[in-house]
Amino acid sequence: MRLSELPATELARRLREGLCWRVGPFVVRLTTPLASVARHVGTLYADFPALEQADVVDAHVSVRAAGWTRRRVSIYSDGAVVYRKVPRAQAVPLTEWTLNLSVFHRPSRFLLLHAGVVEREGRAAIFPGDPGAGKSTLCAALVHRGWRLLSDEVAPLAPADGRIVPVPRPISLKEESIEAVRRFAPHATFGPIWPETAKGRLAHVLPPRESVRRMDEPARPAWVIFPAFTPGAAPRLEPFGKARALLYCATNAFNYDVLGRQGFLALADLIDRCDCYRLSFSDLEQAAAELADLWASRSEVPGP
Amino acid sequence: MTKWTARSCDLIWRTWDQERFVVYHVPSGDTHLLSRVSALALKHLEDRRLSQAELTSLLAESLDCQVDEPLGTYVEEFLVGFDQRGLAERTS
Repeated sequence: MRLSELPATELARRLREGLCWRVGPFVVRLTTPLASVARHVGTLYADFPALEQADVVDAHVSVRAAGWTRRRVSIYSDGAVVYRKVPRAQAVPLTEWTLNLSVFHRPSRFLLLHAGVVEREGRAAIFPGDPGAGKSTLCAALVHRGWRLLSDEVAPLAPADGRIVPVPRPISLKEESIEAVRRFAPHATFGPIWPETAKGRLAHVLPPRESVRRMDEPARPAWVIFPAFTPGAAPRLEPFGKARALLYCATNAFNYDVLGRQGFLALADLIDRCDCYRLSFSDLEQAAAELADLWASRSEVPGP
Repeated sequence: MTKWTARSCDLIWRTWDQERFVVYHVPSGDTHLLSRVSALALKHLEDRRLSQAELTSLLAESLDCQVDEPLGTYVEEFLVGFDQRGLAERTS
């Protein structure tokens, strides 16, 4: 059963008791009495499968009212407080960040690259980047131009077969990128705008239904593309040295050090197989066209 | 005389670009980006134990250049860097 099939009252009841759902290979359990969080989950996780019960849960997150006026909330991950007595208006974005933290900042069998990933007909493009480079913005745009969303934030690379496992959570956009994506994809579904978060003005985009439906289909990477949002820049796709690409990805992976030799070999194999580029852009239409051309130029599906 | 060596079993190499080499140091878990010359020096030390002077001569031969003071200084800096990062070690 998808979360959207639960009536609002039933969704709220389950959230009060602890609602489990699956995002790719990860199972999350969220417990909260807050109506704002329930609305967020009901809207932005609408297409995800609700689980009646889960034997193994990867992330336990709870959001509870705090303080004697109950106008503040505290957010917990696996019982440990992550945010203590923050304003209730921050509950939704901070719950999203805690879900992120709880799922990805833990021991994992995957190499967790800090990158967005989209896929089209068997070929995935990985977008590593620092905050502000434009990886989420590009992902949000491309998934409304025929690409499938695998993730806008963390790319789990399976060392065994070199494929990226989808985790198509809601896409988090900040500041001007919210309007840029609205203009680019007027039919995209957005959650509310959260005006005063620690990361500035923020909004979430509903992941496309097709991406969620196919979240058990890993994809083979064909490109590693470093986005560089540069105001006023014409789109420019230029080769990026593979040695530097590996170093960048290693430095920004969440658990490269933990995986050790296995992590290096997985990453080296990824870089071996992929063409590496840097994409400077300021306009999403032009960037999408540039990437469509790149996709068309590599006709074969990368082999095993 | 002090000699230097690097243990092959500790190093995993990957090379893509002509001027840049990546080496993973298994004991520390660190990944290093090396220039062509420093990679060549480290590979020589993997092959056999060498003094600084021997390594300088070998590099000069490989690079088809003269053994001179700048190259000697360059090699000395490599060795200090390798030592600090655990990539190579002194042996007596």
